[in-house]
Amino acid sequence: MNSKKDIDHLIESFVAEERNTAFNPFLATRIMEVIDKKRNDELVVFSPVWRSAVIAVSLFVAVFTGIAAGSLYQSKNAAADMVLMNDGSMENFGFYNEIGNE
Amino acid sequence: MYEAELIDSILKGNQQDFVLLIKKYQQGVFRTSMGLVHNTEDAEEITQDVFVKVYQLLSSFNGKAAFSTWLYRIAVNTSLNYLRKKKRKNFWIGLTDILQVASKDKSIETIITERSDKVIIQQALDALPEKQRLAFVFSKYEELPQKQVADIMNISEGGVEQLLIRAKNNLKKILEKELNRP
Repeated sequence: MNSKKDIDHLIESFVAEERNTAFNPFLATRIMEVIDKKRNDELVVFSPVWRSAVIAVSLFVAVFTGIAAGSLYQSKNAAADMVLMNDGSMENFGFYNEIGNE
Repeated sequence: MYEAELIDSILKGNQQDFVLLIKKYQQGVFRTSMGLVHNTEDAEEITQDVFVKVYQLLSSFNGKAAFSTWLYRIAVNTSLNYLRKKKRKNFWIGLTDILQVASKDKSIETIITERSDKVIIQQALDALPEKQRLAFVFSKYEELPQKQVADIMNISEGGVEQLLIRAKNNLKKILEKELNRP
């Protein structure tokens, strides 16, 4: 049977034991390594939010540039193309009927 | 170097000064975590997480409270979050282990009655309500003055006193019941 005094003593010894637990003497070095690694990672790789934003903006710029480029294009030879496509103009029989051209 | 100067220097980019800050407070953070998780490896991992967070958040420290108060608040939040995550993770693993051992050679009852006094005290501490547990850890493990415990927990000194009395009574009640079990 544990008396109240024993219980107090048990609690005190448990706390003292945990209080005096030794930790890794290189804990500070380990922490600084983690901090350095995190800083380097932040410099090299974008955060996921920024990465998504950059992809979205790039996609928008690509689509917008494509549409703008398509709208700006105007053919300079449109009239000539139409003449070439006109069969009447290509084979003008009147041309052969004229004297001197036979 | 004074603490405020040290913080200024770190914020100006002198990363090596942060080592001085770690060395000054690592034991306190480790003890506090140890009082909450009762495991050396876990307490070391929490201490590491706490200082990484402190480094990242240092620019947001406005000096309204003492640096140590701010640091202990981060330590408590990190430890409690760690415990919540671990509890979720270990629930199924623990249950499977007990059932596996029980099915081999021991009954569940035998396993439970074989718990040592140490484990019983640890479980009694963990069974305390969160605020009582925090007040107990700060005053018994870290031996912080009641004023600072009150600042960290954002309550009055009288409130801390009350929490400590309740914590001690609850612990005794649980332990009397558990340790005197036939």
